[in-house]
Amino acid sequence: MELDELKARWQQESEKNIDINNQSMEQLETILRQKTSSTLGHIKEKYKGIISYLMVGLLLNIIVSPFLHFLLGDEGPVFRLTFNGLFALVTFLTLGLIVVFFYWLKYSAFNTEVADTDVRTTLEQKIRALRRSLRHELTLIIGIFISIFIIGRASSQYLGNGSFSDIFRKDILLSLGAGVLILIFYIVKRVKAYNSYIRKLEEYLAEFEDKGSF
Amino acid sequence: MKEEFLQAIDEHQGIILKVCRMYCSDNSDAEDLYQDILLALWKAWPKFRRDAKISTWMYRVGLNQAISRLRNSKRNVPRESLNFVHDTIPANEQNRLDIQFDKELQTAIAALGRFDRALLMLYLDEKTYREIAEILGVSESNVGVKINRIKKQLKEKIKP
Repeated sequence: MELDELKARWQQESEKNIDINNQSMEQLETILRQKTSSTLGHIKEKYKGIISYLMVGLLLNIIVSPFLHFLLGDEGPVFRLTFNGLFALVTFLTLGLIVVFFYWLKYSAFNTEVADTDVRTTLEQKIRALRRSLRHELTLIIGIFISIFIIGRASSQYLGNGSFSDIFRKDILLSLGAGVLILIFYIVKRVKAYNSYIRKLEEYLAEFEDKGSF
Repeated sequence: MKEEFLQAIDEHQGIILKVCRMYCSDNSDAEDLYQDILLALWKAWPKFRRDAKISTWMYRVGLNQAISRLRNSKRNVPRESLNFVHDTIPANEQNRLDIQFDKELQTAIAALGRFDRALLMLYLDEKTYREIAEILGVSESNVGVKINRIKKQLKEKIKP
């Protein structure tokens, strides 16, 4: 095939493609709606991912925690499920399940559909909902962190492993520091994720506000 | 403004299809790029100065979109596929594209770079060097040199 032949074919097929694919421009709004919906769908998928990770984490904890004493070498090579261990496990599972339930509620309540009638209003509602959702999530994460700390100290006192107010021990300070670091990391990650979704929706909204509704 | 935009797109939508044909290898990919270009045109419309031809502007925006998309995909940034969009919203059959991809052309352009594909597309569209230079923002002499090089490359590829 010569170059001229390629050019002729390109032009001929371009004409053919235009005839076949001539799109009605009224579908522009549909395209925008699809893009918006895919962004929302992505957020919903993230919730599903978080729930999966949490469930796997909890399951691993159930499997590993009875063997912790063995793994740490405290009890020798003997499997033993102690009352203290069981208590810690149940407490951890309860808090974990609260977090799972919170995300499950968010996942099941999250609507990815964008109404045909008024995309602008839907976008505004979705942006507001995302901001509210971020506040809820941050409150829950911080609340859970404080709860874990308080329950941990209270159970230590109850089980005779030290006083509630005895927080300046090296091991407690180290675990508290590690916990705070993980908490900050998670908060930054979530805030960034939410902000990127909000920005994307705001961009779509700005397009509507610039030019009026299509 | 709405009417003006719709009319412009309607008259020149062949440009978007050509860009899709040059930069995509299947319809699913082409649909995604088609949507991206439409959105980019929509966003750029208020800033479009009427001193340039609409077709030149559309080529510029469309090619920019296609090139940056290709760059992103080469960086392995995962893109939301159109299939995912179709999972969330039932696909409207009327919106689906059915672009005829020329296998020989695909083979010929496979080795070309992102920018060279744009040059080839404009050359195949019989744009003058001046128009190509205007669209791509390079000098006319640069266009001439590059097109000659592409022609040589293609002649090797599409030997009868």
